Amino acid sequence: MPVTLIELAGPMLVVAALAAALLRRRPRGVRTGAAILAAALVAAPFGSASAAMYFLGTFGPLSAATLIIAGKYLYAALANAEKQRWPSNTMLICLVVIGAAFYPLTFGLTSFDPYEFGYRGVAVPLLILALVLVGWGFRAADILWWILIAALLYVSDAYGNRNLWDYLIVPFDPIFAVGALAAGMPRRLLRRVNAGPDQDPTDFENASPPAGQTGLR
Amino acid sequence: MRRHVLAVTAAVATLLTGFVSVRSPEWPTAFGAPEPAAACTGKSVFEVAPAHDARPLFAHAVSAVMLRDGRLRAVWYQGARELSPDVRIWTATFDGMRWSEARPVIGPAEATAGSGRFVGKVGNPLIFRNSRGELVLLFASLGKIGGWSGVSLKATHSRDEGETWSAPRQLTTAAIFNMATNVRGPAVPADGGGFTLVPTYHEFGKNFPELVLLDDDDRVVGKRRIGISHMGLQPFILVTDRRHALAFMRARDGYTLLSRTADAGDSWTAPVQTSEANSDVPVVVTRIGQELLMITSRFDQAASRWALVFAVSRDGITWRDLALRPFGSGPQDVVKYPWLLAGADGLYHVLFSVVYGRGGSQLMHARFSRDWIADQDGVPCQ
Repeated sequence: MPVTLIELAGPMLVVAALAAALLRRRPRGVRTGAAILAAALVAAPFGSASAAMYFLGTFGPLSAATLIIAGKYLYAALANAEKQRWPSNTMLICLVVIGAAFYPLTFGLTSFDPYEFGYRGVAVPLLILALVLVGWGFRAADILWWILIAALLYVSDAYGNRNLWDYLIVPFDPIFAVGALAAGMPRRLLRRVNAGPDQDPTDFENASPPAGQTGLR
Repeated sequence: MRRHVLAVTAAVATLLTGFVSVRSPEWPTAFGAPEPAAACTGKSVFEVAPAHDARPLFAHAVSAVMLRDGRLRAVWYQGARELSPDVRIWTATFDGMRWSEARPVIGPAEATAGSGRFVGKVGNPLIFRNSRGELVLLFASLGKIGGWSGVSLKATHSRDEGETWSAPRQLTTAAIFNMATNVRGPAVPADGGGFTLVPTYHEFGKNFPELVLLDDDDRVVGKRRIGISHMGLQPFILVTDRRHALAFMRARDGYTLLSRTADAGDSWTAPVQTSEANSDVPVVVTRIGQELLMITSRFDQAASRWALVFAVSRDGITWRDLALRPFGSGPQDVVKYPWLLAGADGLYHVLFSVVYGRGGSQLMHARFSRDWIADQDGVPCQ
């Protein structure tokens, strides 16, 4: 069974976001062109396989969390919405907590394997319902988008995979979240020390987008 | 307001997800009926002949299935060496007299083109018949770099007894980049049809055996961990009745491991060591009367060569060696990876590799009757 378009879209989106981010000081037209070109190159075959096929063969399809992170980054880069570049701290913390609890157990540290719950039952749906409540309560719209996309991909069997975990999270996500939280911490502390209580530079769910822009929140 | 609408939409999608999740296939409540043991034929037979001489190439990890016309179809991987990019999955049939010419079934290029995911190397194949009557071939696939820890599984099926095969499909079996799941032991049908239980094992960091539930569309719909103690791998599942089975595992160093299930593989006892020494080699086991027959391999000190080992047990824990059959020409030639099945001819067929120290390997084919086991002071003919 060849890869589906939706599986292919994951690596294309990530590479487009990276290309646009690398050129974020260039004019918008250049950034947009670079993003489109990068996405096309990922899907174009070189020899017997494309870069997307290498990516999918090595890492598999991307989770909804990665799609949200890359999508948000791409949107911010293309729309000059620099402040909306990062996911909310709430989403980052959720990714770190889930990753820290989930992956070590799947690795054989104990006889208990939480990955089994992704195939059937209410455990993982209850977890994502809790995430919906967290997203709603903490005004983290990106969490709501994350869950919505994961649910739609799972229900539509977009990856031909019946394990709900794989639509929700991949190991990239908690690793990225740890890095993003760590990167934001010194700036956050400095700002608090220098200016007292202020806007958290990575807490963009409460940030106002620039005039005329309504980003993916 | 927009946040509330989004939250409600996400909650509805979550409820839909829960609905789909609880309606996903349940773990089977029973195994399919175990294959009947071969009966005594009145003639003690033990014959060994090469099935395929790959030298100077390396052929290994043979798996086989009975075809509808009584022939036996074997599959294995073959190339310059293990994990070499030129390794492909090969097949041949045995008609009761001789083996057909071996031919390749699939290699990295075909696996890449068919699955849409890059495959740099292929490895262990496993062949079985699903409840639709199609042959299913699972095989290990890997990227360009790295060893077995990067392995994942692909599945292809055949509606013409293995003459042609469908485009392979990726199986998702592991949480971390779908890595480190490999196969060796034979698959077990689930009761009622539609599903097959495939013994697998985790090969990254800590080894442990698992059981994957596969539907007839080659989709993984469930998974159970057999046990993490003693780091067993390459589980061989022996079904003893509808709900009970034994899992025997290869051990890195020490003794063959045993775990039991009483609920069709839904849960397993912690693996324990049996009395049968294991030098990091897989085992195969079948029931003969009230006893178990194990075939494995180890270095025979007396013959100073590697040997195929036949052993019997009543409880699966305490084993008694019946016979050791040495192969190769010296201590560097290693015997391993037996595959056992009962043939239409009333004989047991064992396929295994002899890996030569000078390079290359040979697939061997041993045939023996139930009477031969009795003659070795094994389970008497009734």
